[in-house]
Amino acid sequence: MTTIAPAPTAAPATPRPARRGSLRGVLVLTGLLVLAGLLSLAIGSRNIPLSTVVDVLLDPDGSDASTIVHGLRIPRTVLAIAVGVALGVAGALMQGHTRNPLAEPGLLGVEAGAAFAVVIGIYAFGVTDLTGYAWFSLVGAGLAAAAVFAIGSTRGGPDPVSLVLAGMAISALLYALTQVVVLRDVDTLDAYRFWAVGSVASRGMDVFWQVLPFILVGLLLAAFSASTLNLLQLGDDVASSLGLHPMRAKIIGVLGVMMLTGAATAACGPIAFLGLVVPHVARYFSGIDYRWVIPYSALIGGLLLVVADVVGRVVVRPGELQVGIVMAMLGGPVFIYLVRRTRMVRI
Amino acid sequence: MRNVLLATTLVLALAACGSDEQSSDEPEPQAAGGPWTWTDDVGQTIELDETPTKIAAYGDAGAALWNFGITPVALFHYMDPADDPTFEDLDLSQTEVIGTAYGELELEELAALQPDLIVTTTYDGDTPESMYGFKDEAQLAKVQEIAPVVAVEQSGSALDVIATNEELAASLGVDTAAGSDVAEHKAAFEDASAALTEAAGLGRTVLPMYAEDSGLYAVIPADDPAMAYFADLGVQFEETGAKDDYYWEILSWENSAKYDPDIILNSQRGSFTTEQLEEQPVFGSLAAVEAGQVHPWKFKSMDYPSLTAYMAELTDWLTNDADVA
Repeated sequence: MTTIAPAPTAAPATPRPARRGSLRGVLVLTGLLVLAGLLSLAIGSRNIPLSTVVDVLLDPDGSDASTIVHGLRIPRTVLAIAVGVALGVAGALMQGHTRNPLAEPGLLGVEAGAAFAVVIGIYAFGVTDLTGYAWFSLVGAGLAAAAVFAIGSTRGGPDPVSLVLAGMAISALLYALTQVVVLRDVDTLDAYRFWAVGSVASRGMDVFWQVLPFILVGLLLAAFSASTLNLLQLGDDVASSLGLHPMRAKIIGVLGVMMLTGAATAACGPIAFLGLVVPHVARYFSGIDYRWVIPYSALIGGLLLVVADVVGRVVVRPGELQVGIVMAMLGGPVFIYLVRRTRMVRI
Repeated sequence: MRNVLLATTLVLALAACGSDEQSSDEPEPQAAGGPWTWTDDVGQTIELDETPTKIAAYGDAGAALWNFGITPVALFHYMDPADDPTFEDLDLSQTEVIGTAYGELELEELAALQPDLIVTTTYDGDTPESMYGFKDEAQLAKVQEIAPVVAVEQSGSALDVIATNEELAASLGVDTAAGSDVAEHKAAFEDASAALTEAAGLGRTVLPMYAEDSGLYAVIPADDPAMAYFADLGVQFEETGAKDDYYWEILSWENSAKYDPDIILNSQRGSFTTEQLEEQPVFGSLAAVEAGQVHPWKFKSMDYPSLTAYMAELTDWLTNDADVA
C-alpha cells in the first residue's frame, strides 16, 4: 500500500505569540486617554496659548478664553470620552454576543429607533434643543431594541442570527418611516440632518449628566457580560453544559448594548464606524479574552473619539468638522489598513 | 457669465432711463397672445408662439412675479411656503403648492396644470441643463418637457434682480408704466430706500447670519442681492469673509465672537432661535445678544413690495437700537 504523502505545503508561518491583555496595557491606554483629553482642552478652532488655557483652567476669569475652555471645550471633551467609551464597549458586546466580527451597535435597531424618535419629537412635539432630542432618542432606542429582542428571540432565547436579522429589518422599517417624515416637512429635515451627522459640539454639560446614568448602567452590565462572553464563544450548548444560562447572559449583554448605544446616540447622534472598528483594534492588543477586550475597547473608543474631535476642530479653521464626519473619514481607511496589514484576531 | 453681466448692465441702463422712456423701450406688453421671446440669465432664448399666461415657479421666483401682479398657477419651494416669511403677504390659496422640499416636486400635478412657462432662480455657474430649484438634470429635463424653464440670476444688487423680474413681468403683460401698480410700488420702494439710507447714517453695524450646532454662518453681504443693495444704501455690515468664501463665512462656536456688531439679523430659515443664541457660551455674551438686538433676517423675494416691507423693519431697528458694540 502506497502511502500518499501529503503534498508538502508551505510551512505554516510561525504564529506570533498571542498578545494578551494586561494591567500595564490598561494603564498605558488610560494615560493616552488623559493626554488626549488635555489636548482637547488646549486645541481648538480658535488659538488660545497653552499658558492661557492653564491660567483659565485654574482660575476662570470670564474672558473669552475662559468661556471657550469652560463653556465649550470641557463639555465636549467629557462627552466625547463618555460616548467613545460607551460605543467601544457596545461594539465589543455586540460582536461577542452575535459572534459576528462585522456586528456593530446599530445592528440592534438602536440608532434607527433613536433617529425615528428624534424626528417624531421634532415634527410632532416641536422639540428643538439637544436635551429634548436626548430624551426622545433614549426612549426610541429602548423601544426599538425591545422590539428587535422580542422578534429575534426563539425558544432557546435570543439567537444571534435572528437578532441581527430582526435588527436589520426593524432598522430598515424605522429609517423608511424617518424618511417619510423628513420628506414631508423641511423644518424637521433641517433639524434632523444636523442631529444625524453626529457631533459632540455645542452640547452643554446637561446633556452629559443626562446620559451618564445610562452609560454607567451599561458599563456595569458589560462588566457582568465579560466572563460569560468567553464561554458563549464556545456555543450555547457548551456554555450551558459549563453551567451558564445563555439566555440570561444574552439578555444582560443586549441590555448593555441598548443602554450604551442608546445613551451615546442620544447625546451625539449616530457616530459611524466607532463601534465596529474599536473592538478590532482592542483585540489586536488584548487577544480574545473578553475580560480584556471590554476594558481595552472602552479606553480605545474614548481615545479615538476625542482625537477625532480634536482633528475636526483644526482641519477647516475657522469652522469645524463634526466628529461624525471625521470618524467616517478616518475610520474607513484605518479599518482597511488593519484588515490589510494585520491578520485580524478571529473571534 | 459675460452675457449675464451684459444683460444686467443693459437692464440697469434701462432702469436708469426713467419710467417714461423705459416703457417705450420694452417689448410691447399689449402683445399678450402674440409671439413671446425671452433671453434668460443662463443664456437660453425661449421663443413661443403665444405669450405665456400660466406660470409655474420655484418659490422665490414665484413670489417675486406674484408681487409684480402675476399669480403663479403652481409653486414649488424648498420648504412649505406657508412657513416662509417670503410669502407672509401673499394668499397661498390662489395657487397650487406642488413641492415643499428642495427637489421634491409633483411632476404629475405640474403637468396637469399645463403651465406655459416655468420660472426659477439661478446662481452663478448654472446652465440650461442644470438649474437651481431642481433635484438633478434628469428632473429638470422632465420639467422642461412640460414647459420651457427660464432662470433669473440672484446676484449683484437687488436692483439688478428686481429689474430683471420687472422686465420679465412686463414681457408677460404686466403694466409697468407710470400710474400702474408697479410704478406705485417702485415709488414706495424708493422712499423706503431713502429712509434706510438715513437710518444707516447713524452708523450702527449689522451682522446677518445663520446658526446651527456646528457653528455660525456669517453672511458675506456682497453675495446676497438684498444685503448688497442695503450696503449700497449705506448700511454698515461687518466685513465678513476670506477671499475664497462665497456667501457664508463659516465660524465654529469658539470663533463665533469674531464680529461684534450692534445689530444681529438671524436667519428665519431653520436657524437657532434667539433663546438658543443667548445660551451659547461665546456668542451669547456678545453685546448685541445681551442687549436683545437680535432681529429676524427675512430672506425676501426680489420685488418692490417685499423689500419695501423688510427695509421698513430694518430702518426701525437701525434707528431705535442702541450702540452697543
